[in-house]
Amino acid sequence: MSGIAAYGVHLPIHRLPLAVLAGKNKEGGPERTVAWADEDSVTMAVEAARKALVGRDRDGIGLLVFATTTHAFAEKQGAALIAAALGLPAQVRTADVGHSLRGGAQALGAAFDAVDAGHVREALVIVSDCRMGAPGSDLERSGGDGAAAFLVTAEAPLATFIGSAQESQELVDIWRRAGDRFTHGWEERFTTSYGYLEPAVAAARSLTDRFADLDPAGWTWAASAPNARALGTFAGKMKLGEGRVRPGLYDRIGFAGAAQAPLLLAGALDEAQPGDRIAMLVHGDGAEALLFEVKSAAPAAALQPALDRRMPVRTLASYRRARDLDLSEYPAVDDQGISATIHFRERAENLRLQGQRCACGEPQFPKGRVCIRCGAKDDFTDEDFAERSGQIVTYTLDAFFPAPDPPTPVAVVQVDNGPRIYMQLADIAASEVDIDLKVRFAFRRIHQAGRRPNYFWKAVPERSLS
Amino acid sequence: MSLKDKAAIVGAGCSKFAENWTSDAQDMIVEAVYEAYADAGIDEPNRQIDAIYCGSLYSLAGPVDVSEALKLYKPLTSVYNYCATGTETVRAACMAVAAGVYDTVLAVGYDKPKDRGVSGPPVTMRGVRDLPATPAGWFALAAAPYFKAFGAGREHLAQIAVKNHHNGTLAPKSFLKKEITVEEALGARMISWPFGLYDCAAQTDGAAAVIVTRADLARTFRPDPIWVKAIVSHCSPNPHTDPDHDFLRWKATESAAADAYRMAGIDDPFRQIDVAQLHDCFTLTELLSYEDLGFIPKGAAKEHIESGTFTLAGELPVNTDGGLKTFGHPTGASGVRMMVENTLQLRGGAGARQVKGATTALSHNIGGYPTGCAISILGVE
Repeated sequence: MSGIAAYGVHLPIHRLPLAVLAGKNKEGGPERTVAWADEDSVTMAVEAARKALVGRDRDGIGLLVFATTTHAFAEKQGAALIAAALGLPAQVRTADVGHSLRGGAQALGAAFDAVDAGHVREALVIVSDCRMGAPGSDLERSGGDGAAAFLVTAEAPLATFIGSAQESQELVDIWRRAGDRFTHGWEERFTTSYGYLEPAVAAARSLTDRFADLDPAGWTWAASAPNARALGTFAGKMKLGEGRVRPGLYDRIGFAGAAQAPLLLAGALDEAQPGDRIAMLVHGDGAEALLFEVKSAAPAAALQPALDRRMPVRTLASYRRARDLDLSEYPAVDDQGISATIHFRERAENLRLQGQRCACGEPQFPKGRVCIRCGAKDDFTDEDFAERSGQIVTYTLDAFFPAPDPPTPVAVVQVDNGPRIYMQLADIAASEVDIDLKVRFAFRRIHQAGRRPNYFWKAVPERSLS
Repeated sequence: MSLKDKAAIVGAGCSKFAENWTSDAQDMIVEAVYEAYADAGIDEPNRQIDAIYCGSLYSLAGPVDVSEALKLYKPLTSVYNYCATGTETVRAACMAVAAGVYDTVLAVGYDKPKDRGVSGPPVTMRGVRDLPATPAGWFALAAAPYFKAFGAGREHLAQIAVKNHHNGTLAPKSFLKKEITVEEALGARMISWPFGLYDCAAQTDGAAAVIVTRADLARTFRPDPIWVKAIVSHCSPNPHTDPDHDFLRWKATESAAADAYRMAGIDDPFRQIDVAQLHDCFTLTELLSYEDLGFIPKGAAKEHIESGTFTLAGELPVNTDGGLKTFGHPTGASGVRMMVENTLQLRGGAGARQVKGATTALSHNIGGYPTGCAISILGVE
């Protein structure tokens, strides 16, 4: 039987206090995660997957399913891009799941099916979302951004997938029309009653009925809900006792869309003991519930460190700039953007931070034909540097570079046992940047030339990836 | 092979460097070149000029800009080497003359960046990994390591800005004629740490030209030709990827200086050079150049800035006309403008900013990331 062999979580480091969102200059209180200008569903997915795959060989992954309601492209796959950034084998099956908050469960279901059928040995499932609520809307306040990744294998060591239950529901409660930037919602009491509670309770009951012999009263529920009150109502209707429902983290993350229940599942796995059973419930165009049996305690917590890694957003203006909510004198130009042919030739460098090493031992990035050390021509072996660490050789804080949140920290980074790479820094306060600072690398949106997301790696402080 | 004493400058001209809203490239080219013609006593350019070398960074139509502005239809070579373009243009002219291909050539550098509608250099992102910072950000990369190693700081950079602002007030064709204080420099808005606004050169429009001729013909133009003692160019690895760079220097300047001194027969630059125009695109670039050019030992800039070594009254005046900082920086013109200033200094014609008795003058351009440097040394004998 298939199950979860490993998992990882990524939350954007930026936290927007709801007081700041309301225009108050106040610290503390409830806050939500905010994907910054250089993050999107793809970058968060890559980071969550890298955490799930730490120390693991990636060559056995035969299927990658990426679930989100916030695809960076309406036409162009996210999973293939993520597979390239992760350096998965070119033969990997890739699929995107979209359109519904329920996508995470569908992605996991597809992975369990493929592994159980023996089609693939290992499957990677990533659920990532950064939905935008219109400025001033309830959705802007209640939303959150984040990603969770799960490695699915047969006879998985952490948790076994027992079974699932579905309930499909057609209604117009929450939607984004093709071309819309912001999510719309119908009146909240209607959407909670019929978009959430009715299908959620139906799916949950179908799961408890189906596995009535597995002591449903003792299960822990990692349940999505549009808000804390709705989650409480669900618990009440299901008569779930004290501690049986994982806290929704609405005042720390917000409602993270399709990633909400997967993030809570990761939190449940963090604290689970062998023999525990965890039910994950997702909603959206119906509901779906999945049951897991824990086989062993997780080697390390995933959710808590991500929650602890935080940088509060100090001003409403910086949030608005980061999310591109203000009109600009020079908006991004809708032109051809970066050269697709150049990007095609350089995709390993751009997406995997791949350089090369000369037979003489000299590492080099970007790739070249002639060695800067020994002068030999074409005597190189490819080498990926994304998972290395490094340190800052020198830096500047560029206030003139067009960025939503200047100054832009830029550094020459010495990769440990690797080349020097000139790159921007992220997730760091200007005052923290210094020579010799230890860094690691994070996959980010580097710019939007041609109004397309263009991706490269940035250096982030090592402590922020602990 | 050496170019020493094989070519001479017999004419020099320079347009007003400014935000020339009412002039186009043609106006500035004509202004600079006709001044150089007059300076050389050239009245029949179509007979007396054999070829043209032009340098421009921003022009898309460099060769045609020049030939059509001057209605001078001659062999025309367009030269480009980032911010070293100006000196490189004159170098190409000198090599052609030294090789005996031409007798007399015109070298003109110009740029017209102020028609773009925005301040500062262009920041375009076409490749995914295109430079993730502005030029200020590239040149600032030496700051943190240098400050750490030698204890210098923003206040020393500010003194360079104050000096060049002062010198600029004495040059009739300079852009900024405004004295500033160290406090003003330190308090200006940040561009890219540690550079504030006053640490950055003023980008302007402008053109500059020199007439270069064979040594044996020089006195047929003027009795006081200025001799090219050395004119060299050198490149270095991109400091962003150079595995060995210490960010305490720019290697291209060190290499080019060694070549230039060898060609000119200079072994004690601080004593033998009387006046210098250095590439102060940013104040730190000037500071590093004092050392990279061997004027003073590595790390000694701080004390020399404090003691005024490089001021007009100091032992080795630098950027006597205000430099890129205040004379202005129309990129392709800057190196040529420096040679125009050195020609004036060596003839004793630099007015209020004249360095007394100057007989040897150096000029220096560095550009790219930075990756390329070109140096000229001119002399009176």
